[in-house]
Amino acid sequence: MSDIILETNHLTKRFHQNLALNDVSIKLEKNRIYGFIGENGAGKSTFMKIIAGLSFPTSGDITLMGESSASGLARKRKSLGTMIEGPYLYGNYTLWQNVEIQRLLVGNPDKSATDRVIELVDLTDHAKKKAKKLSMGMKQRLGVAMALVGNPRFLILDEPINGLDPINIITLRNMLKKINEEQECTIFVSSHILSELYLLATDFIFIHKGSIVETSTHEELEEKCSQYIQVKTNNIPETVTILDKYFPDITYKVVADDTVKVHGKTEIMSDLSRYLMEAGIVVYELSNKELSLEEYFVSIMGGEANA
Amino acid sequence: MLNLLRIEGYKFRRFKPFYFCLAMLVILGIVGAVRGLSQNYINYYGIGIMHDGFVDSVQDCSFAFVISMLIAWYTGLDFTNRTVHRSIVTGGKRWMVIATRIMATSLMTFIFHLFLIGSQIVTFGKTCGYSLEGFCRQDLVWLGVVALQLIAENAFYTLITVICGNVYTALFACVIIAAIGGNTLRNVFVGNTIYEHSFFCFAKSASASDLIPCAICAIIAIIIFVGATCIYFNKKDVLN
Repeated sequence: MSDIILETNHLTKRFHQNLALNDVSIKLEKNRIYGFIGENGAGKSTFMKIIAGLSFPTSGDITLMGESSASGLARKRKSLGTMIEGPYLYGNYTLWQNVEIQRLLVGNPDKSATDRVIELVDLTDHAKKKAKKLSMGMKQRLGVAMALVGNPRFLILDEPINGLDPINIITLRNMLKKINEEQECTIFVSSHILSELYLLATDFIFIHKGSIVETSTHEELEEKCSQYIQVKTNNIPETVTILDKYFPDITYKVVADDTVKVHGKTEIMSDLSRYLMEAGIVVYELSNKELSLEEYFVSIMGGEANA
Repeated sequence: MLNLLRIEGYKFRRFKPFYFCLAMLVILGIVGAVRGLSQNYINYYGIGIMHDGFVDSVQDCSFAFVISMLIAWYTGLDFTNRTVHRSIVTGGKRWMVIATRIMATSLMTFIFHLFLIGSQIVTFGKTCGYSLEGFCRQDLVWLGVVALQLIAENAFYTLITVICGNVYTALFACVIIAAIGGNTLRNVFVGNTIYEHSFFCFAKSASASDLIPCAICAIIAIIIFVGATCIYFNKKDVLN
């Protein structure tokens, strides 16, 4: 049995002239928690909608739990729990009825599942309230409950912590971790709150203007974020050439006319210094620096951190 | 499919506008049962038998705009609330999503039509005397053909609603089309064979010469409109 729960190959989505997804190829392994990171309009929701079957790719393939045919995908989607761009609620129905409808839709025969997931998201006291009268945070939690009622093997959550207070964010985080561990459920979650994703995810996928720009495990990201080398020289084009030639695995970003930030492996500093000297480049600065998660995000998205 | 049908049953039972429309017909029936036919009607058509109430109402498409409204409202709400997404992301095939909604609205509009027939029969019964004289098996066939025409009407308005993609636009479009197609054009196309066999105009008698072409037209319309809706919806990105 394959350990890959989702694989996309060269997934592209075009809306008229706008390229929403550009050649996205990723593999998600079972039982991991993936943080999907990108700015507004990067293509996160479009990607999730294609996986969920709401939208169709212009080109490319999807393999979900080993199935890639249209009928196979539809069958496997019964094992998906999704909340994309907010929960889809019947406003005039009660919270309980909304979850019950979802239970019937996913075909979960366990009638107690409705009450169980409502309790799980701590909404039992509000079960008889109409969905339209719930606060935003409660709606978000209701959306999570609906995503969970089918005992999903793969959970797709788009901005699930929007509108949640700090207590509920912690509760949701712990709940997702518990579901991941106990139910062996793969979780694919997007959020703008990077620090929160950092506490939850085991892997990170960065998307920028429709393209995947980086994938990292938590450990790799921790390493990249913790330190970087700041290089200031009199000849940045030649510096970049040296980086490309001798350190093809590292990532870097030219942040000013005379400055390059080299992420990740700080142990290359002595070698880099030697190569720069040998090339006759005047080095103004070559130092180890710390990078926050936000700064790292900004740097790989092509911007400049303010810190 | 079964799961989707169960959901439609769940929603159907809680769709308040439907009960409101039925309540209107019940009130109409009660008023008819108390007052009977109007004097103007009697002066024009004379007094017949209670069965005339059935004949009069089974072909009555005066409430076409209400029927179109119910369809657009029920189906369109799922697009506006984005609840149609839930059927799709849980693995429901798109043609099934369409088919189950057409089934639900067809049942809804058929019940509405039965209530209309009932209210008219009661009204005629008050004036003409309550009697089963004239009712026969052929009436059931007639009702069956009208049911087919109602399904065709449902398929047509469902297509419009899916194209509109939200309840407000769908309501506007469907009610306008129904008012023109069902209420206005029937006065323009009096005696026009094509129009009188279309689903805009229910079968006018229990004779085979009326029922067969109406049934055939309805079946063709169902195939065309259900097919068109499924093809369109199958390729549609459900984004908003």
